Amino acid sequence: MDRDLVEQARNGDREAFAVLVHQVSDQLYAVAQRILRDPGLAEDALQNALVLAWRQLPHLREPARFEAWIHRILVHACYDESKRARPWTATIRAMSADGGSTPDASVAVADRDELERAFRHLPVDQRSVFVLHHYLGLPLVEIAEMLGIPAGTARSRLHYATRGLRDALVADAQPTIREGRLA
Amino acid sequence: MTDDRSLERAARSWLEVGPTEAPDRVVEAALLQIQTTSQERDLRVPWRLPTMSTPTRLAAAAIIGVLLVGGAFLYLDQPSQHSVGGEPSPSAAPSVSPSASVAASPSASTVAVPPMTQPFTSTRHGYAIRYPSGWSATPATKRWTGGDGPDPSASNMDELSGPSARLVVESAPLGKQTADQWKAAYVARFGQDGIGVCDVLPLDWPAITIGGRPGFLDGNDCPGDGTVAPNDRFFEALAFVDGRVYLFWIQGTVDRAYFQSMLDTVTFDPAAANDKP
Repeated sequence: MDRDLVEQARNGDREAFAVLVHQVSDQLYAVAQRILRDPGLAEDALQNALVLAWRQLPHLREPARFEAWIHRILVHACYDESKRARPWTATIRAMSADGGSTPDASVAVADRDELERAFRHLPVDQRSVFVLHHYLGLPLVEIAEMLGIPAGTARSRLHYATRGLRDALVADAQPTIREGRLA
Repeated sequence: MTDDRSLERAARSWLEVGPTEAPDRVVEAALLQIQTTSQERDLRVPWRLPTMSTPTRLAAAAIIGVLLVGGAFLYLDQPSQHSVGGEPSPSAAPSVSPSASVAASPSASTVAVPPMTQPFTSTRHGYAIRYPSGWSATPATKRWTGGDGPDPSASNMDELSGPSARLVVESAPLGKQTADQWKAAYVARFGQDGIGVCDVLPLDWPAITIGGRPGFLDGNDCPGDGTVAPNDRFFEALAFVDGRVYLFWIQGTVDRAYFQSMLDTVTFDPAAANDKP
């Protein structure tokens, strides 16, 4: 990230900020989409985050931290958007039909649907840590710093997210097993 | 797919699916909105003025001094203001520790402070406190070793939780460390506020009182992570009592006076603390 651009934008240069926006918006949108599992909410989260980042940019003390800082704003925008989330049935369709990248063949469609269902039941703060860790590949210490939470909290959110996913998948699998035994 | 490793592998593959480009119309809409949006300017006075030379600092201090003295004369020259029994002027808390050079006193609360009516006694951490009616209390089930920063989701903290605020408390024996050594190690690990997001206070944290005992305000009106209330804030305070460190952390729609009103109800009983795992 170009520190000069951040400095210029911090001093009110809208063109400099537009350049920064074009550099980060793809990743911000991808993250929002994966946290919220809804294209409409993700778009709103991105737009709100970009406007809020512009407004609050003069408060950013370290230009070098711009990328982490704007991700934090985005995650908070996702928290806000999740409060008005729609029923998830529409979401699965949207995410499945909207494949911008190639799905891994090792994850079957049935598994993806199970994961989608299970993930949707997690609290948004756990989903956020899970996505930042497993999608962006950020270490927990960095996530904690990014979100302004203790490292222990980041760790416990990831732990509970993983456990929640596993429990939901196990619960999802139960009727199938029972049916299999009955058959 | 239910063991953690294969679950994580599957989840990573699953997360790869989905759009990776922001829709142009969304980005353009944001940039259009920014054209008519002004930036917030930070009007707070910084704690340190690193770019000032020493003579400039002295001159600035002299000007501030003259303004303060002049202001005081003008104020004292208005006797009617003293005779109507107005609000008492804020007074600094007495110095309670040789190492604490800045005294902090809360100004009037801008947040409605409820009465602290409900008693809570922590047999794990060795203290008692009062909290508002309608809150829930969840005692710690594990000891705190003092090695972690505040983690409200951990079971080593007592948690008092209300609709828009949450207080967590933990304590640990200092062992062979002095209070100053503990503080230095804590700052080195987690930053001055225990998290590292709000390190704007001087290292000699403002002195406060906690249940009438000396304490330090090491997190003062810091931005929270929005998990307790929208735009929530957090405060953190430490006390060192009879060989133990006590950590109090509040997050939510709160201010300094709100926090202090809870801290004022604290009674320490370090001998009653249980440090078994």
